Amino acid sequence: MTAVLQAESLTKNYGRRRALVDCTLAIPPGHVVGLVGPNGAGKSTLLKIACGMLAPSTGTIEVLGDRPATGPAQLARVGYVAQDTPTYSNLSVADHLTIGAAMNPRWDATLAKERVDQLDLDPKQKAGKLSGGQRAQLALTMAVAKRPELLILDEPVASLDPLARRSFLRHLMESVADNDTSVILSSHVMSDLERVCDYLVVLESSRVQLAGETEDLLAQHHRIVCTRRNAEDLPQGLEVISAEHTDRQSTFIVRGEPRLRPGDWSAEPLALEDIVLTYMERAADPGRRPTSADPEVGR
Amino acid sequence: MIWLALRQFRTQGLAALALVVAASAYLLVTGLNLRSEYAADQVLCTAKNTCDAMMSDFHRAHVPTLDLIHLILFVTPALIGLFWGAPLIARELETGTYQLAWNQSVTRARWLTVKLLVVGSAAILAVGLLSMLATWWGRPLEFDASDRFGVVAFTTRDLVPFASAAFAITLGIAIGALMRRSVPAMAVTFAVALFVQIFVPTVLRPHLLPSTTVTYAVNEQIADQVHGIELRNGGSEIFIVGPFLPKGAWVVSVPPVTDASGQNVSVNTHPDCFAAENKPAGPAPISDLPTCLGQYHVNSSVTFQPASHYWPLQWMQSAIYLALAALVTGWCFWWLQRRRV
Repeated sequence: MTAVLQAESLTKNYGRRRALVDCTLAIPPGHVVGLVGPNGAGKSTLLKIACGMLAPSTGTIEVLGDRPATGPAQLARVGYVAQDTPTYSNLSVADHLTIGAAMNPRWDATLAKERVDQLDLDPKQKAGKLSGGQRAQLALTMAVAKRPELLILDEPVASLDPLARRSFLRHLMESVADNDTSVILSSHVMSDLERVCDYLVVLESSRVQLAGETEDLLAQHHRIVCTRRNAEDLPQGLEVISAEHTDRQSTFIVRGEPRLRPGDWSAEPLALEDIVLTYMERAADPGRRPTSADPEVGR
Repeated sequence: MIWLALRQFRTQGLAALALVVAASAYLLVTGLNLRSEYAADQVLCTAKNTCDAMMSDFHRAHVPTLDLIHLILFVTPALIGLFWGAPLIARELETGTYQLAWNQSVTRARWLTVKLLVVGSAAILAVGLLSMLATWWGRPLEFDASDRFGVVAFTTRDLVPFASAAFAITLGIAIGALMRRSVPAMAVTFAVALFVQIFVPTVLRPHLLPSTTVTYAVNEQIADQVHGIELRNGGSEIFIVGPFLPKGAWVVSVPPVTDASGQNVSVNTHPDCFAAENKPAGPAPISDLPTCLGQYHVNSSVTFQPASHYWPLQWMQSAIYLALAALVTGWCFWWLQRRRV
């Protein structure tokens, strides 16, 4: 099956600033993908390239097997809800649905109307008078009723209060569950994504740090707590993501199956949020990367 | 796409429609009054045999209104560029709604094409209709066909207003796209559109077709052709208008009267000819000056475009505006294709 998003060495520069560096990704279809990373990590840049709002500086990208925004057919297959969920403030909710119907060949008017009723939006209300949450819901309705194969949402819940977040994500899940739609949504708050995503991409310092199905990621990562020792003294075949040392104790976060001989160490599974934070910390501060040259460890 | 373009244009379009209807009603009513007044005056003055004076009064009473109508029409394209053109893309960029529009199943090129056609055709129709009405309105006031060559009149009548409206609207759209903020883009659009509106007819137009220059000796033979004599800069420059000027021609330039050595003829160099002008008892008849200057072998000249150049010049000035509009539109599409947010 064609990848939902296939990127090869994707790089985007804004003048001298590098927003995205050497991004290589292959996201299989049928997932709800969480794109997580701190502000300024390049999440929006990657999503804008994916929907054709931006052209990459170098590298290639294919979305659903075709270059983004190449024509009406490709545009119809990808739904995009931009950050801050822009809508036409002087047009009504009903006007927005008419726009969707007029501009999309696969528009599902029944679905759109159902969602508006369900959300208790007044069709005559101007979009400018809606609350942030309602506006986000309207933007989502437009993207969903377009019946895309891939739905891309850039920080859709960032401006919403916790209650609105929850309801937005619930509606999102309901909308995509029936139609086999793939979803990519970004957030800098891991807890938003944890509940809904089954695939995770971690972006930090303009680079992809980690990508994979959440189940696999959870199975692959462990925390090893032991008496103080060097990273090299751990069993072979483990990739050390982070190492912390106190006077008597060392804590490693590793990728791989830890087959530990009985002894003064123990391995425990990690929460998704911890895994993500570990990768982010490593990327944000490369000096902490554990190597044999680390003076702390070598002493 | 057409629905969105029409819906977004609805408020502006209706406001403009109201203005156009009001302006048309005004022009129709006052234009009909003007005609009945003209007809009545004609009957009256023919009976009394005072038509020259009466028509001159009629002219004096109504030409200021015509000038005002022309002036309003002259700035209308710039205003349309300001209100309709500049915000067309800038507003979408400002509010982020372009992201909504560009992610429907319609390409950006099509999005711009439809927007451009809706707003552009409305602009051309509005300006064109008002211009035709204004031309009809002023018809009883046209005594001298050369009036239509005036900068404002020429630009607001016949073909040119259609083309200048097309240019102003595309200019506004492009400046809005470039500046990405409506209010500054509106100000810049108005300034640039007005500049072009003045620059093309004043600076470019005289060179679009070759002018004719006639140099002639000032003497009693031309005396009865003189329409006017003007003294400028305290009498140091003398200008004569009228001789060798065909009917309805557009005077491009009239240099000052010079003597055989090329020096300007002035009140001081030929005091005897101007003595009469200074007499408190009343100036000498206009015909006296050429006769008096005739003994000194002085020359004058006039550069003009004949009346037959009116339509070629209309076409050429319109072509300039349309070429600019095409250029600016081309830039807009190029910008759209390679836009980076």
